[in-house]
Amino acid sequence: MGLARFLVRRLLLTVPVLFGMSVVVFLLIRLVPGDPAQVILGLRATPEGLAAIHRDLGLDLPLHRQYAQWLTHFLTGNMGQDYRSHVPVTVLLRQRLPVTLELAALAMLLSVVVAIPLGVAAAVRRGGPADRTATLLGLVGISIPDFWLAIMLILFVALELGALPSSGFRPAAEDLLGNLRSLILPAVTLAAGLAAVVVRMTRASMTEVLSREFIRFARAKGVRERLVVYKHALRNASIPIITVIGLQSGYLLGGAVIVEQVFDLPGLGSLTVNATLERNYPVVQATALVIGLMFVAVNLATDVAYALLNPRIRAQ
Amino acid sequence: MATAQESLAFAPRRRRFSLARSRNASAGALLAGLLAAAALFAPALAPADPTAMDFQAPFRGPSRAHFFGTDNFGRDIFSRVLYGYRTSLLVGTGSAALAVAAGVPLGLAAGYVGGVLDHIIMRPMDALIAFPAILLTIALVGVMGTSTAVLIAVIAIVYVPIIIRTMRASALAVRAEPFVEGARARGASDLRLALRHVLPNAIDPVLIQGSILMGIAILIEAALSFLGLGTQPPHPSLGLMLADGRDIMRDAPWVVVFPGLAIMLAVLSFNLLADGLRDVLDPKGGA
Amino acid sequence: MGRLQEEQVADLVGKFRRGVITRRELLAGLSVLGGLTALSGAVPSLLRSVGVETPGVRPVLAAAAPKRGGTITAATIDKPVNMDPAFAELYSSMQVYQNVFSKLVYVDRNYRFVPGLARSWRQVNPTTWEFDLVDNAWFHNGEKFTAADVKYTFDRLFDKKLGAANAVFLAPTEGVEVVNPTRVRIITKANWGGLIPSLAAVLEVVNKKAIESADTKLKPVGTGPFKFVEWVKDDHITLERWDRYFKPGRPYVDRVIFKAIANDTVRLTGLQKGELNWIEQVPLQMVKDLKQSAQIKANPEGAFFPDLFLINCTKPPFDKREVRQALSWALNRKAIADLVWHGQAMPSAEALAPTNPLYSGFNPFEGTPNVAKAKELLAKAGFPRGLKAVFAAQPQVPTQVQVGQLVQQMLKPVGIDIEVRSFESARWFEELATKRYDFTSTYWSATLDPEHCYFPLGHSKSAWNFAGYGDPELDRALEKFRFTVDPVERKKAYGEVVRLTALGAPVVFQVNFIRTYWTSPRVSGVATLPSLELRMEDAWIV
Repeated sequence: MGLARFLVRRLLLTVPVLFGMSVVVFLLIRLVPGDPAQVILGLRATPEGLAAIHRDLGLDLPLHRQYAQWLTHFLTGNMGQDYRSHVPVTVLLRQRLPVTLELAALAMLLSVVVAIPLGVAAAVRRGGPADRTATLLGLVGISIPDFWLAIMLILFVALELGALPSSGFRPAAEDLLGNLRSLILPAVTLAAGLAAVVVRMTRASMTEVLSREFIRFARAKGVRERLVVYKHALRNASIPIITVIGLQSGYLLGGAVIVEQVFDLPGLGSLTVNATLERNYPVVQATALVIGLMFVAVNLATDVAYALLNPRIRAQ
Repeated sequence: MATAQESLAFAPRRRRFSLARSRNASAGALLAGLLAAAALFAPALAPADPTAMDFQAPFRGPSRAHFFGTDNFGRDIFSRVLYGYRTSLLVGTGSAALAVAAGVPLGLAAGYVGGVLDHIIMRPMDALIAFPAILLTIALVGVMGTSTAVLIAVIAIVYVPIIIRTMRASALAVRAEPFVEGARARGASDLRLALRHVLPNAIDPVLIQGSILMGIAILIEAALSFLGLGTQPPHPSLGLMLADGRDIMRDAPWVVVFPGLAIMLAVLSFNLLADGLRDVLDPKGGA
Repeated sequence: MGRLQEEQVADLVGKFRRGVITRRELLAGLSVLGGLTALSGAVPSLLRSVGVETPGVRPVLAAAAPKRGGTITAATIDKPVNMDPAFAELYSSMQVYQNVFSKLVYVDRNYRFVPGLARSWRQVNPTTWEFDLVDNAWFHNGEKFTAADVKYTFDRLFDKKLGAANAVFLAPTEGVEVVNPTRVRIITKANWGGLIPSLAAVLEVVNKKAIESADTKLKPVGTGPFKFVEWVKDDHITLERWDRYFKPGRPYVDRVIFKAIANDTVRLTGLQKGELNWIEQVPLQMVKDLKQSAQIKANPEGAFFPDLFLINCTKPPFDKREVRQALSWALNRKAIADLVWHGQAMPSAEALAPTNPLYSGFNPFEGTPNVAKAKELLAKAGFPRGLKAVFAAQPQVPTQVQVGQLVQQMLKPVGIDIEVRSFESARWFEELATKRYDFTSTYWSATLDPEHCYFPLGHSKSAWNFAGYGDPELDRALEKFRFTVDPVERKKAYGEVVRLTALGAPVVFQVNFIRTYWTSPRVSGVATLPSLELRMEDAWIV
């Protein structure tokens, strides 16, 4: 089976997954106790006020009609409005998604750039300084609570030293430097855990591969050590590393929720949390779909990477 | 498939390293044991009732009377940390055990048997892994309320797909190894192949993942409590203590520094312990 | 120093002597009147007579006269959610849109009702009030303001299909009649005493064309001092000076930018670094120290924000009046004020601030906490061995969780075993609406007139009677209070409302939070108002 067919098949498989998810999210959020109208009106709710909002939002319709309505709107590119602020959900996503994506990308970049070379160096010279650093990073990075790291960074780097902003977000279009400055601490926070997992996996996987016959064979043949390590070994050790990075992308999104909360960043994570707490149904449905889509994309990318690196798997 | 084995058949340098790691592991075990004991014997060890307020002594810095200082209600932070460990440890071990127990058989079946069964197991997992964890958590907490049992269940549900996928990927790779083919050629049954040949050779990444999960579960418990969705006041929870201390951290840093360090120590000890366990369990590299 | 200013200083000093204003307010007032170093005539001796030394005054007081131009970058706590004044859903929304709209009547710090879009008003007969309107106000869409807009505003509020929350505060209104473009009549039920305060609290005048031409929740169009420019969701709202504002010379600043920053420390850092020049609140435990700082300025404060317990009277254990009274007896309000609010709250057994002319000071539970009395009542109610109850808290509201923990501690010696149970906000509201909760704590942000608080929370027919309380005697007292105009009679009627509410205890007031707005020393004209408005038209920056 060719790579193209493999891709098409995987893409087609994601459609029912996402559809199923949209149904589950739709039902779940409506079955959980809590009335959006009550949240909107708060202590100032009156029966008339609640009824007006229910009518307004179409919440007085039976569930299947509500879903049909949502789906038809969705298929025409209309994801509804934020219940509270009346902003179209598409606009909200356009504002929020880039923040989270930029944050996640920065964190990913930061951790990969640090972790993979470190992990490789650790595996090559076991017990050396790089190995000790890798072991330390691998342990501390996964042991440190991200929100606590965030608080400590705010307390000591932002507030005490005044070196970086402690919260808030600057759009890159307005102020690129300010944008990076506003994202450094959140990205470092988020990268710590990821870097730890990647460095562990790189080190473990490389150690194992370096002990294999073909590496000894390559070395015996006189292939240059750099080439042995980076071409032969790293390529063969990459599947578990990529798996872990792929899996941890989920962690990045989950971690983004907390990090966005602590650093007060207007990203997708904080949007999802607040929308869920407020029972802001259209926003919840949209954010769930977008997050789902991102997972599917990451999984797909991981699978493609497998397939490219190891044709035997593609044959499945 | 890489299995992160520690082979001792090589240079002595590596053996020394392995011993060093064992030292780390025994340090981890010792630390985890101490923390578990501290949690278990908290009533005897804690100098104060963790919920007793002293209206006259809010925000006292660390001293001989209060090792970690006091919080906004004059409660002894050291005692609260000891009691907080009880929740942390229970949630950490409980949810990791649950996720591994459920994930290993499913992942092995998906990876080894493959085909339709693979799809039956993995498609819902794709959906579940793609499902925003925080939404799932809020929904479950919304329906079932907040309790330690709910927390354990929520964390296990969120992490079971990862265990399954790790197990599956690993089983898939091991199944393609020549020695499995060889065993099959010698007439071994599928069940025997799966349990005797694939599982032992494919389990290590799961153990790594599971060991990470144990620590992660402690972190998640703290994070959910930090967001107000986990352990509830006045019950001491390390995450909750951080949430309470956030607004006053500049004046009373001890309110956030000690509980955070305590979480880190607990997670660290579990990770050290898990590393050591892996060395011991590893059939080829056993130290 | 002109004669006018001299008279104003004399007026302020007189007020201070009569106890109408506090010393802080006197000083703030003086600062508004210009630099004290430039004082002349009889003023210095006048000031010395009340203990204000003119040469030694703090440099802050040397603020210059109002100056045009500049930008106020303000940080509130919570995010605004919508800009339609018919839906006063959140206080954080009002803080912004009240600067875009105008009201007929405003209230000043001394509870005097002062002209807005209405130049003057009078009660023509028990059910009719007549308002003369200004002739020089324009909406930001270019429409001229007339009496028809007032009528439209009321009609819209009472449109059942709209379900406007604020209609409740104006419920005794029968209708509005346009006499001519600058005169309008408001017809009320009976002899409504709360009309003027209610207008000053919630009636932002809207324009029909503007309402019908855009999404009102996104684009507010009023006659206010600032016009709405842009709203970058979850980041900031920009307002710009409206050049055709009807009050001459106002507003002073060109632009106001509202941000919402949830973290107190971060907000304070922003002010100290100069990224912000107006903030709603600093970390409360730092207030005392910060008041000494020359770097930032604490503006005249006010305690207009009561916190109260809501108690479910429809189910055990709090369906028994004695149990609710036992809770009242066991309360240690000072502990709440000190530990939850770090001293930035006044223990209070009623909704009003002591500065409110109607303030009663009445409290049938003097000398709390009194554990013996509480135990006695509990035994009388049939719980000699104590009882269990649940305090409903929202984890997203930390002070509420803290109050819950404190009250748990306070009720323990009485024999009431409290469980603090968390409900995320949506669940918490549902617990209240369906009356499944036992008791909880909340703030109430409408207290300009006590009618806005006691009536909705305590009247048996009110939609906001979360306690499920019904007491014909309290209902009668509330109605008597509502339909009394004469100030002396009204004050008496209010005292009776306070007494009956305290005794029945469907709601139990805890403390009145002291709100202080903090600014850069360059910003003047800022004060906490009884209506809780952030009246940016009064502020200027040098």
